Amino acid sequence: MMRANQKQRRGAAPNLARFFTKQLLLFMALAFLIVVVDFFLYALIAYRESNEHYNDGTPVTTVRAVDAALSRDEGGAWIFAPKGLETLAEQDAWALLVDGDGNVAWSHGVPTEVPRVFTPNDIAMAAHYADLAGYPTFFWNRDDGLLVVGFPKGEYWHESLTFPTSTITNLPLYVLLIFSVDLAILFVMYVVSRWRTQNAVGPIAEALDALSEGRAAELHLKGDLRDIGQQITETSGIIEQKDAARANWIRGISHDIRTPLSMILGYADAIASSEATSDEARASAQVIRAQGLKIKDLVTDLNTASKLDYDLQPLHLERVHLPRLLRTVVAGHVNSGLDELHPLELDVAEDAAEAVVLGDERLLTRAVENAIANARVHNETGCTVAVSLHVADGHALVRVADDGAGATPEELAALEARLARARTARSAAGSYGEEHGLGLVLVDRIARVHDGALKLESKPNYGFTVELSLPLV
Amino acid sequence: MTAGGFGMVDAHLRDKRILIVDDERELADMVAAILHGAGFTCVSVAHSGAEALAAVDACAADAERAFQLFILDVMMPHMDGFELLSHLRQRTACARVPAVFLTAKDEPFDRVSGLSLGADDYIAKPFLPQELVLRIAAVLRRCYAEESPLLELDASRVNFATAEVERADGETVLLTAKEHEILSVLARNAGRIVTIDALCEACWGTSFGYENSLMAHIRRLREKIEANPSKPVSLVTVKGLGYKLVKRG
Repeated sequence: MMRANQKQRRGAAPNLARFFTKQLLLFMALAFLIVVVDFFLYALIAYRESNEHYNDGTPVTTVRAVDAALSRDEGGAWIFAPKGLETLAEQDAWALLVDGDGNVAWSHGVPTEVPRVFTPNDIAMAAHYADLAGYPTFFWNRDDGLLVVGFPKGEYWHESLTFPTSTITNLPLYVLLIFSVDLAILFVMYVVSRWRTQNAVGPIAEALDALSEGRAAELHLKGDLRDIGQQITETSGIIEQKDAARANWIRGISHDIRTPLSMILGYADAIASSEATSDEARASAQVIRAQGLKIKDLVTDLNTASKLDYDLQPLHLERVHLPRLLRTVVAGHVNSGLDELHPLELDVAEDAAEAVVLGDERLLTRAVENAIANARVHNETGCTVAVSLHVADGHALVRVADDGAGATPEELAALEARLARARTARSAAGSYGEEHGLGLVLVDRIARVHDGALKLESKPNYGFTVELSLPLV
Repeated sequence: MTAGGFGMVDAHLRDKRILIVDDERELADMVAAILHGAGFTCVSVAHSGAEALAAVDACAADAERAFQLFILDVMMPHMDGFELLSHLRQRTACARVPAVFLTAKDEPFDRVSGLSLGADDYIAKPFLPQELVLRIAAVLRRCYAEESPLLELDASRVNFATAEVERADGETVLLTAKEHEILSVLARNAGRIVTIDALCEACWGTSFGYENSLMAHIRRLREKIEANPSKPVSLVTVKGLGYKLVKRG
């Protein structure tokens, strides 16, 4: 049971790490998304800009307007429509027309430093650099010559790029390569962060795990997480102090109760067995004695439970010879001759004659004693208590069966529910208070610390059976 | 305290001189009353370690007055029970006197340290008077074997000094060493169940692997002491637990 519990809890650390891994993955995906979005934004902006300023933008429209405005009448004289003038004025631009011989056939507002005669070389260079004497220039091909429109200096930036065809065909590959490299970098970042996160989160998860199981947790972290580590260590310390205080308190109380209780039991017993007292007084003294014995059991159970809870009583694991333990317990009861209403029997099956388990002899004795006490308490008028030992499936089965009043299925279910609640509670002593008595709760707890189990069986009028199964060595 | 004696204390143990040491006067007085009630005649009480040592020293010289059993409380001011016992153990007269701790603690550590000091038993409070008397009587029986070497049984009389069994039919047979050992353990606990394990431990030093030998020895013992070995009346088997010796009468 406890092992299963631990397995289940061990899952907590990976869960926490998984949480951080998810966060990391999300972060990485976002980073990659940014790269992709950037790429498309770049492409979009570049396209829009060039469209606006180049294809549909000022230079081209201006050049077209000038081209449209410039014409010749029948006499061969140049006519420049007002529309063209207006456009040029707006842009603070100038224009000229170079004829087939390289001479300026027409011009408007051309600055003085711009030559009036062009060699093919001049034209080629100007077209290549889109620059004429420092003025950004644009060219337009007409039937009667080459129209040149110049804009103020510094208005446009031009770079003529020439790439091998292979570069352009490989462009998609290059883009892919860039994305791949980006992805690889992100992946490396992810792996490193994940590793660092796990290193940082692992100890925290383990410490929280320990705390939830009621163990002490000490955490010394470096860097930014140091505070968290310190807080967990402090919390563990506080819990430990409280646990120790509670255990000490229970121990102190149980210690202080013992001496007065000895006297109550001693004198009640004396009165109960005195022939000098009246029957009535004897009966009352017997009640006092019986109740005193209940307090005694309770004190012992409470102390044992609290010690088990806080690991103050580490298990002294040794090879325990069960037939011997049972014989000692049963013979002790029979020899004491204290309880003639509840005769005890012991039956050790032949195959269980050498049944040995690894356990704490004191606790196992306590478990058997509690089971016997349970049978006695619930059958005050008397019953036979049969203790037996069998072996099945690698487990030793210690059964304490009475032939008394038994329990109804509802009562049994309620009892089992209570045991289940006590199992999930962190402490057996802590489960005290909701319901009374610790006897069987303690048996269950002792069975579980030995990797064993407790089973209850009962039918009304057919007695009650407590079965303790413990793994054999 | 009229506990009626419980009928469990052998006559030869009743005059053993017992010293109870407990700082709780009422409890010490009650324990004394319980022991008186059980038939013990020489019970003294001390309320501190110093008082106990003084009482012990006062009668140490006189073998007829020296204490034969100590019942010590563990938690006492000034000098606790463990300390007192180690003081007692230093006195040659008390070095071998049995001691029983009476304590409100039941932690294994205390049990170990109590027993390792040479305590013979450890009784946790609260206890029932019968329980106390039983444990005290058991310690006394263990430490002070019956002086009389004769054991009267239904169909025979055993003389432990000579290891002879005088049978009712007039025959005399001898006990082997092992049979003698087994029978003395049972005789010391006459009327009580002795588990198989306790018998093996007392006779072979271990409780493992001697069950079959024990059964063989018991069978031969019965042939010697019982009138009808197949229907034993003196050395009876208690099913599942062990054996019990029933004295005559």
